[in-house]
Amino acid sequence: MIHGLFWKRTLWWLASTVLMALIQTSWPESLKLQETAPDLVLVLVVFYAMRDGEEKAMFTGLVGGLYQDIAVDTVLGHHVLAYVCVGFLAGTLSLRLVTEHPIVKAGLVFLAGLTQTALFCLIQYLQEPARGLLVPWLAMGVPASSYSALVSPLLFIVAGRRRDDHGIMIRPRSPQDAGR
Amino acid sequence: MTGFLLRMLSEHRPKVVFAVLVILSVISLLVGSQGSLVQRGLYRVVSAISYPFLVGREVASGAGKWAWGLVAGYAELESEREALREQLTVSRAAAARTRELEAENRALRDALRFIRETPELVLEPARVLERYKGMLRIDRGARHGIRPGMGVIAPEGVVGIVSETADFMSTVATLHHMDCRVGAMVLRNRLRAYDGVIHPAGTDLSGLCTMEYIDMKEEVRVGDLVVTSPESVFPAGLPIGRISAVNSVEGSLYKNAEVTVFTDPYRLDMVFLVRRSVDDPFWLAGPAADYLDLYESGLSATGEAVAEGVPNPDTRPLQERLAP
Repeated sequence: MIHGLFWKRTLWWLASTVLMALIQTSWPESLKLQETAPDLVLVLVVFYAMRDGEEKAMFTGLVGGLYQDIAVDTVLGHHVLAYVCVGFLAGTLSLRLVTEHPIVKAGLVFLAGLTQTALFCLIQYLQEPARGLLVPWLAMGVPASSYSALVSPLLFIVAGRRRDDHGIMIRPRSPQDAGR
Repeated sequence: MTGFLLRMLSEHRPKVVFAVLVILSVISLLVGSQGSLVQRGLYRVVSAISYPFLVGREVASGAGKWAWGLVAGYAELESEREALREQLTVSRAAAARTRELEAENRALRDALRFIRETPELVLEPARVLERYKGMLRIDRGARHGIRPGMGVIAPEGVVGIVSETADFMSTVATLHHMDCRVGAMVLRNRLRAYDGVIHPAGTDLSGLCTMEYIDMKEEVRVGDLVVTSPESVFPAGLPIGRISAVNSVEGSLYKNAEVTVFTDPYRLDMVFLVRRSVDDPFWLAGPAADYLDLYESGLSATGEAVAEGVPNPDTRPLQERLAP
């Protein structure tokens, strides 16, 4: 039973991650608001970080990042590194959250977005210093993070409404729980 | 040692996974793996995964465009239909206007032909403004030289007599009105009634006139043409109507005839006032045989047959015509 549920959850996770990456790379124009698009993969990374922990978040970032690296033809690892780092940090930070209020989640998404875009711009800057670091981050990262934070409650509700999610807590909610 | 290592890895698995992923990513970034075997393989995997979604997207996009086309096309067709309906209304109005202009043009040509074919008459064309109970109101009045008693004719025949004039308008009592009296005679035998006139029978809508006081011995037939007599205010010989019935009372000295007049005042748009006429000796002495035959055959003296085939009335002096 647990074995079947594991594969089911894994398939759902993979499909949702690929779908988010696909939507983000295939319909960027339809998602844009004032030339700013939300980072759906990032929202999913934060969602899995809060629900299943940093490991699931990192693998989410790995799959979503690889997909985007291939789709937008960047150097392999560019998106992956940024998402993996964000997933690890969000997973670690979510252990310390004392509330699951939607605003707190949105704030976490906003912070994760700022971090992810900062890392992305840093890598880009190291590859091509002429592009600059601060201006691209401010011009791209802040609006995109805000937009991602705005849409995150909706995506959290949609992603958290699966039936097999109820009553099953895979991840221990505290380090003490992990030791039991 | 191995067990300790595995336990450490198990306890710190997230950190280990993080470190491995970061190291691999950094290595990939440093190497610059664009176009490498790994990327090509991943590209194929990503293409295979995304292909159904892309196809679905195209289908959904096509369906959306098709559905939107239905709505937008319907709205476009609706607006086109409205525009065509408006255009049809305008075209119908234009067609009606054209028909009206054609009718007016035809009437004007007839009037012009009538004027040309009656050189012995000086005519004043007038437009009919109003028709009411056998009276006509025309747009010519005293300022134009119109006086009461002037004759009014149309190409079909006698219309009536001017009964009143104002500065710019006049009233015409037609042969449908009781006040109208016109000197008349039967064309075939130049027969006049004792009073010499015909007058309307009394009902405006019947369009009938009566020629009274005809001697019982005189021969009057149904179908005889009645024209103006030389004693009338009109030039002699203008058609008035045709006898439709002859009534005689047993024991009476006179009989009377009903005359159906040719002109219908309710269909006239234009009439002609007779300003001046030159009495034709032809009519004073009686019509020539060919002209009489023409009228008997039912053709108007001002019709096309007259203009094309029959010569104009002989305008020679009376002495010259009657001289042996």
